[in-house]
Amino acid sequence: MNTDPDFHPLTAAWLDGTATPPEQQLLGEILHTPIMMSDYAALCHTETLLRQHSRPAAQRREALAQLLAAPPWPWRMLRFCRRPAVRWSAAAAVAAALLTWTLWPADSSGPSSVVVKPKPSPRLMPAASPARDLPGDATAVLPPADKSVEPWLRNYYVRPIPLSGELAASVRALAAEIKMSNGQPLAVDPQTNGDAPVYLKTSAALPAWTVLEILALQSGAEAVVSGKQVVFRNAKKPLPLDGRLHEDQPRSVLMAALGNWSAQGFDDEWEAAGFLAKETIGSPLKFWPNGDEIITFNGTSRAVWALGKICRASPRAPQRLQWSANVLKLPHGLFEKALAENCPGRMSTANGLFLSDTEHQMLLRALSMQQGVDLMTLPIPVSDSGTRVKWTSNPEGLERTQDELSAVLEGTIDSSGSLDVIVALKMEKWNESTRGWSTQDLTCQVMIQPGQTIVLGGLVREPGMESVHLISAQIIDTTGPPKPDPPKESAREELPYAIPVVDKPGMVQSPYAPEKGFIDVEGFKRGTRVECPYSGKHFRVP
Amino acid sequence: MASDHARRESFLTHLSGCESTLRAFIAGALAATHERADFFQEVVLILWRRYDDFDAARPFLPWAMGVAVRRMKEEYRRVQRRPGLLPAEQLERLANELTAAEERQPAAAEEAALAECLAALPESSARLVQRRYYERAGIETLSAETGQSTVAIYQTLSRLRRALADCIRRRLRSEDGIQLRAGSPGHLPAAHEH
Repeated sequence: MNTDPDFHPLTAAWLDGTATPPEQQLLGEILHTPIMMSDYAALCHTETLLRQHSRPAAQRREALAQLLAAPPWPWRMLRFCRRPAVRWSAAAAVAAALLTWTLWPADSSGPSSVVVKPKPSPRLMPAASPARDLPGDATAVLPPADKSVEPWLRNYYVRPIPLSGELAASVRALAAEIKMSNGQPLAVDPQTNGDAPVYLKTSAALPAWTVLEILALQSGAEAVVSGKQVVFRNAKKPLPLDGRLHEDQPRSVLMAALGNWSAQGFDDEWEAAGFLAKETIGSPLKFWPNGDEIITFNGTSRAVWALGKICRASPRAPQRLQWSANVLKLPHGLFEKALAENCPGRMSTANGLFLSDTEHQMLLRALSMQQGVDLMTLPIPVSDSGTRVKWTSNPEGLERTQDELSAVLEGTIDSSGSLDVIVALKMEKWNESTRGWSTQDLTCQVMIQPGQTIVLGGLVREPGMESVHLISAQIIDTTGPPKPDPPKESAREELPYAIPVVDKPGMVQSPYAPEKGFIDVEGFKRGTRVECPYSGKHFRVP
Repeated sequence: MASDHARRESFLTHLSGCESTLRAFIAGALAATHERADFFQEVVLILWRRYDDFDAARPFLPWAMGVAVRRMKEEYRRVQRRPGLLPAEQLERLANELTAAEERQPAAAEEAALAECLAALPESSARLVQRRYYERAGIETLSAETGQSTVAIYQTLSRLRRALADCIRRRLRSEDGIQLRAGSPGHLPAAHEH
């Protein structure tokens, strides 16, 4: 029997449409046992049956028939406008219009002559930052905790000072630490002190909004953005003061949230963790291991929820992905042959073809030595889990090359450490006979392990030639700060990485002249800019 | 065309049979009530477009539910951990649970059981259900009518929903031959209970 005291209030709030974001998240987390899900499904079904009960079956069927006939146009229009493709098209149209307006000669009249520029040799363009590439989706680079916040409050992060006591006094002290873009402190209107004191003392750098939410939650209040200020008012449905909850978090995340306790492995480790929790959120919690890497903690609803929120915010461990993408242009059949020779047993399946890291490197090495193979290494920047990153061979869009390739990549790290990857490739090719651009699209969504390579073929470039894309992703930043400083990232010159040589640590192949031989880069740090001894061009050490 | 008409009728027959289960999934998955009808409509249109892919030798609900789950996951991915949407890992569990329940007891049997349970409600509760679900009265209106706070109305409706869900479950078990305890399903709450 389902005995969780929070289950029925949360389910009722969800079904009535009155659940607050914390309640919605909490409900999603407590539906972990089969009996809870069974009860939840039964309540959902009962609610639906009640809503439908007043209408006879024939009337309901007629309503369904009407749905098929003509959905209301505003709804369709809204859905249509929300599509990413439409947004991109609109952005492209605006950019094209601006470009035409800028470049069109003022005195042009009559038919203009078309100047066909000579086909430029293939070259790699600097990769753009995710924020610049995705103007319509700037929130994609924001931490999850701040996505629901209005833009003026999104970007300000604080290292919180110790806050305790009454809610109003604490948020006023905190607000003085949060500077807006005009240099003024955050405007707050604490209309309540809630029903309990607040306490927060953590060295973790949390988004400002997360800190405000935690303080509100502890005191049974809610923080809402009203106009240009944050208003604290009594929550309609505060979490109960005496409710009990438990939650699981990875050890590394919890340690980051609680300040890396030093008693790991000792008998009193869990007592120490409890002490640190009390120091952090002012309420004792009980900890115990749940497997090697997961720790469960238990306590009052508000305390568990507050610590969970800290864990889910900035101290979150490694959530960034380093992409690697190589494009091979080669004669038909050559890739299959190299695959059979270097990766025996690897065959394309209905789910696609995946290579291990070693197989990937062996295949690249073998193919780069073959005649007629053109290898491009794409410098794709890192991305956060669950966000998109785009690469294009023509980022400025000013001079279109004869072949243009763009790729949108998205990888989401799931709880088991696997990667749910979406790859969308688009190749535009100039068709001389039609004097127009032909487009080929290829999209796939697969689950891979970090380091595995997805092999995508099927984009035909010219008769007798094919294009094969090898795309892989690694989880990085396992111990470092959650996000690098964006300006530094974008200011750094984008250079291709060298190709590592399998079984020869410290040796690489030049991305400009892989056929020339190995280069010794032992002792150089990853990312160091070095000069290719064969071509004189610069690349980075992988 | 006659074939188009037949295809449409066949689709509507299938869809009518599982409408409540699909709607229940969407209600359980989406927190915002105003989005549920839109989403249901969208799923219905997808199902209709892909109806040719449906294997008529198999049951309709699992196929339809699969489409709804995939669409819901797309939404989850599109808006980056979309707030107001059940976590992706729970969506499938909810869909499986509802599909399994439907396989055990068709919606028609549940509707019949609900009718019996509603008939057993105390008068004040029956009136509240009537006003809320049949006449679509808002919570504020009900609050003004009954003199109770909106919170109390929400709580009463929640208790009624739980009691009705239990009652439906007991009735259906009873039809399956499971012996009921004496007195069930008579423990349905009155609207004035607190």
